[in-house]
Amino acid sequence: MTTKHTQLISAITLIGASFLLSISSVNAQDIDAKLIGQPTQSDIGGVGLLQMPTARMVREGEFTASYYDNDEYRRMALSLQVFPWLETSIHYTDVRNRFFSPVDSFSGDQTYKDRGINVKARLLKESQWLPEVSLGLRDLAGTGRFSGEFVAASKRLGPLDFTLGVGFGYLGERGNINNPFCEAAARFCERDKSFEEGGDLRTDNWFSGDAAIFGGVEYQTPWTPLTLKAEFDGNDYRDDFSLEPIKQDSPWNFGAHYRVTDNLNVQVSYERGNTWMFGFNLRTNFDDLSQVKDTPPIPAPTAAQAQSMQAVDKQQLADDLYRIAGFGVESIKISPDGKTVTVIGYQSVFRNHQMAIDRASALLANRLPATVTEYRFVDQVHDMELSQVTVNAVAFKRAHYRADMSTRYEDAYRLVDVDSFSEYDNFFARQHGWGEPIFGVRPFLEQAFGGPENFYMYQLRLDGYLSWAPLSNFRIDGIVSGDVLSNYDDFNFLQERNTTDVPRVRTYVREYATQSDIWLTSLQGTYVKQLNRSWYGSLYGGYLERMFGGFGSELLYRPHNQGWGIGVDINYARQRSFESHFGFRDYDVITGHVTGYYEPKIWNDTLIKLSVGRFLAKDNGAQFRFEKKFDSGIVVGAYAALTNLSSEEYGEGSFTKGFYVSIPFDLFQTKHSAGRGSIGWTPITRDGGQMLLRANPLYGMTEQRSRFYSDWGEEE
Amino acid sequence: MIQRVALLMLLLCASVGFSSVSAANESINVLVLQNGTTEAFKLKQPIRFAEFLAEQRLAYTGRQAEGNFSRARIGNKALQERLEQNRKEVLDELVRLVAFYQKAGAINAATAARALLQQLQRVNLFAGYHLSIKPDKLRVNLQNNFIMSAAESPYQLVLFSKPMQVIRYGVDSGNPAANSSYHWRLAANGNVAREPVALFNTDEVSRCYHHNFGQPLGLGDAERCVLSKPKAYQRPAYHTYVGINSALLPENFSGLNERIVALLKFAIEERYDN
Amino acid sequence: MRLAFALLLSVFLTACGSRIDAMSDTLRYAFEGKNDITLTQQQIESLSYPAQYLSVNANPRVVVGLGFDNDGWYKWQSQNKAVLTTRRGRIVNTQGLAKDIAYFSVTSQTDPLSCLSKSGRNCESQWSYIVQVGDGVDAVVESLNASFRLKSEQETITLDSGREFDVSVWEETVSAGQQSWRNYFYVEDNTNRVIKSSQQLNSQGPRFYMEEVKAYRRDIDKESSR
Repeated sequence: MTTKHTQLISAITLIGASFLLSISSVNAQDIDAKLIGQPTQSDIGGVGLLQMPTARMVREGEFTASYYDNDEYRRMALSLQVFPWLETSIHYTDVRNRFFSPVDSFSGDQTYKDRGINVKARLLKESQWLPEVSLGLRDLAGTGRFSGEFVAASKRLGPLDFTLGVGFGYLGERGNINNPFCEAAARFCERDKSFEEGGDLRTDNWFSGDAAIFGGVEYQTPWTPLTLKAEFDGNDYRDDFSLEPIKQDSPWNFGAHYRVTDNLNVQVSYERGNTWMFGFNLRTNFDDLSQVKDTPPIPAPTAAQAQSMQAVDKQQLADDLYRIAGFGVESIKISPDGKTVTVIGYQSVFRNHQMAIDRASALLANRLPATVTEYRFVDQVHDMELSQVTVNAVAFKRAHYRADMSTRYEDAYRLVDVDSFSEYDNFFARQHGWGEPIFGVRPFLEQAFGGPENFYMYQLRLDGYLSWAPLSNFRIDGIVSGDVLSNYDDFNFLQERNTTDVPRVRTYVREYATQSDIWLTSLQGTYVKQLNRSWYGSLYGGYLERMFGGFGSELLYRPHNQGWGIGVDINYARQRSFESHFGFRDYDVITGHVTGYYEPKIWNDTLIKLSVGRFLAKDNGAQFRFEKKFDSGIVVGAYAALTNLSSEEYGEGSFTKGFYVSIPFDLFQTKHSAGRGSIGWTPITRDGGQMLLRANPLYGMTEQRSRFYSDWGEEE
Repeated sequence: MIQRVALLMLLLCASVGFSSVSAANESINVLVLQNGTTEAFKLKQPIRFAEFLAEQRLAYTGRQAEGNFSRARIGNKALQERLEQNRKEVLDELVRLVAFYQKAGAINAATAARALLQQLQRVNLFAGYHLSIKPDKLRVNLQNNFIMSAAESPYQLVLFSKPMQVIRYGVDSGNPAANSSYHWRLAANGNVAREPVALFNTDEVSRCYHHNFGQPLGLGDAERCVLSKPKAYQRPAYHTYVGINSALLPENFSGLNERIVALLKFAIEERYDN
Repeated sequence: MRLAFALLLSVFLTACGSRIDAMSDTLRYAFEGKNDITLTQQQIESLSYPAQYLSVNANPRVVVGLGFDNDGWYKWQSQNKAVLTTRRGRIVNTQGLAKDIAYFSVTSQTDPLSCLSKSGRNCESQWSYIVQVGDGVDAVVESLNASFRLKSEQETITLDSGREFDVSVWEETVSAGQQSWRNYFYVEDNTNRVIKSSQQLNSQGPRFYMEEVKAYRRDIDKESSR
């Protein structure tokens, strides 16, 4: 037996041989362990049994699109677990035997679709002896035809999950108990069952009228993808909206829920003792979504560290800072004592800014002389210096070269407001000239769901865009669009229905959509200026958006990394002519808002915006906007505007509201990107509570001041 | 050409390590605990950890097996002293807790706290910055292959050649004061997890804490996670800890179980006198 | 799911020039995945180190190179700096995969494969061993039993490197609890080295497919292969 030991075969350990490839052992699995034992979806959409809800919540970030079918209704819903304690869903119910409008010419043969919002909030978390308790409101802000409220308690005993609850409205039609609130106040005894056009919050109806006890159980079978459900229905359907009366032979409903794959579930049920129903849902989790990234390693140095700054190739350094670390470098400056190097520029490649800092610091550590002991990276957008990362070069090198057991990159970083560098020497400055205009073409899909004329309205267009910064703080953005495919000419807003004199600022959709095939969507010039550390201002003008042109100014106060800001904008806007070339119509308005921005500390990764002021139709009021960012970077937002227009003046929908999802591009591609795209849902477009949609609002341009849409480091 | 680049890289890397210790021409001491024995090494020059393992043939122990490096850990004397200080504080806290329960007449809770006190006095703790060492991966990857230098000396390294002996720490599960809803798993790599184990909470996700070599004595960064249960033909390769039911902990003792777990994640079965 | 989203997104979202490139890269990746690698004769000849093809489960095939030989424990490394250890053709340790083989120990007399790759015949057929999978809060130790049988001999196979070999094919049946699976080792008749294998060490996998691209001289040189 030999005692000769390690034999080093070759130098491949150091050079990364050309043919060696990455191994991964990721395996296609059966059902993700994270899903086993998780609550399942109800018929209506959202967590529950079949017709009845439970107190259960899914994991934060769960997003489910569900469909459930029976003779009377086709139910569709989108559900999102916004917080561990809050579930929200939008539902559409297609009433298969009713048409949308009694006026045939208006909505054709489109069957009636009822829409609304459901929310469910957890009041009590389950513990050893106490059940989980949740309160839910169904068909909020809808027509009220399916509205109902409930309090439900769920308690798990091994594979059995029991639920008991009290339902009101649609969930309590059976009326098997007296409304417990009726004794306290008479208004709870009767429920107003007249249906409005929808959109109102009919709070006075909540928890009133018939009440019923409901309950059920979900059983996790030993076969993990399958659960079985049984429930006692709180609704007896004697007062249902369906044209054909619904007959109930038994209050008991039975169902089976089967997980086909991680993302697809099916459910079958036998309900009311006489009806088979079937549905499926698609799920994903906004916290979990991720994409394998193609991240080239930081190249090893090819030459020794420079002995002095003079020996550093400036242009090469600036180029590499972009190529390797994503920094578009404007300038590099050195402190008079030569110890501090400041890189000023804009990082546009990595959504995770720390990744860029890691890479840029490694580059500087490899290139700059050891006499430089501090690196500073300043985020600059159009001459506005927004934020700074200060890197202790000595600590960074300890981490980068693993010079000890414990130092990490993070230990070298400090996130601070921008330090003055006015006395620093210019080491490198990019030559500006008149800038380089960027031209391009991209497809764009505009869409609206659930309008009365057509459930899905869309316009696919091709946008040619221009983006040009001729001066460092002045930019021009323009879009010329061509229609490719559209059904917007179905848009049928009937003038005679619009009996009030609310100016039509958004409802000329059909006119805009049909009068030209090629149009100027926008052409806006924007001048921005940093007034001092935390004050920012802008002036802008031009064809601001498809329907309005004009000019205006915005002022924003935004302290560094505080998670709040306040801004004000004032604009003169004039309605553009329908063909959207260069002309204008007669209508004009002074519109503007005071807007507060706030990231509440108690809720992680949420942003609240409140704008108070005058809207496009000269109505006064406020728009409230809520955004929640999930671990994957996906942002889900909702907004609502309430103004001094009455709901009669406003028309169907009662007030302006909408939802949107903003998705980081890099979730869907292997290359890094800091960009985002978004998909929006506007239940119905009307004229009240509408804001001007201009390009380059200051809050977005100063994102680095207090990052929300991008990240500093790894999400937990 | 290729060798030149490699050499250059080594030089570049090494120069940083040297610069930090060049002033002190002290030697580097490494105490290696292995198979119940201790051995002291003296190094003249700073050296990368994986090279040290290879040179001293420490990474390649047995003939059938190469040792169980998932159980290996490296720290130094300074970290060990900090850990022992933490242990002392937790022990003091437990003494106060026993007294509190005795005064309140909570017999079961007092028994539980006393059991924890005795266990923590007895248990052998070995502090490490890095737990579960991957010697081969270290050799081909700079990441975590740190330079051993006089500044951090004396180092302490422990190596094992056997599979883990699983130990259940904490309160006896027959004691009503034990937390029967959540148990802790203490892994070889320094990660710990709080796992729901009762009938009512089976669908809850666990909370995993990832060991962070920047703050090794803390629990680490928390994350939601789903743990699988060992199958019939498997046995766990992690220790467990059953804490005192946190509802029974007085307010100024809250977080005690977490503090105990932060100690126990460094527990090793073998006792070395060093 | 990702593919569906990518498709959806490519239609729904704005896309500028470089975006479309990035998107089409991603779509290609979603549709085709990464391809198996096959080296040309020329590339194989130019290799300065012994190498193997390796695929893990259904993932595309990669090339791993021999980085170190520690007394017959071979260390194969991939580009992403994962390292696999083989002992006489058996993968006994991995560092850098999702569920690493953290520890392996033979609990019976010997691993028959070690004997076969030494003497080719007359080896014990039964053996047992333990494996520790992972080092984290999900780590487990498994006890396994296995038996060898000669499946076929004097078979001639051609490897993807283009070379032809006479081999004996050994089938190993491994069981852990109620589960069992089969491994195959192609033992070359002249040197008794394993030139091709399909093997899974423990019940959680992964399954490895390995095939020689360029032999290690020590294995071919009969004098030194003790």
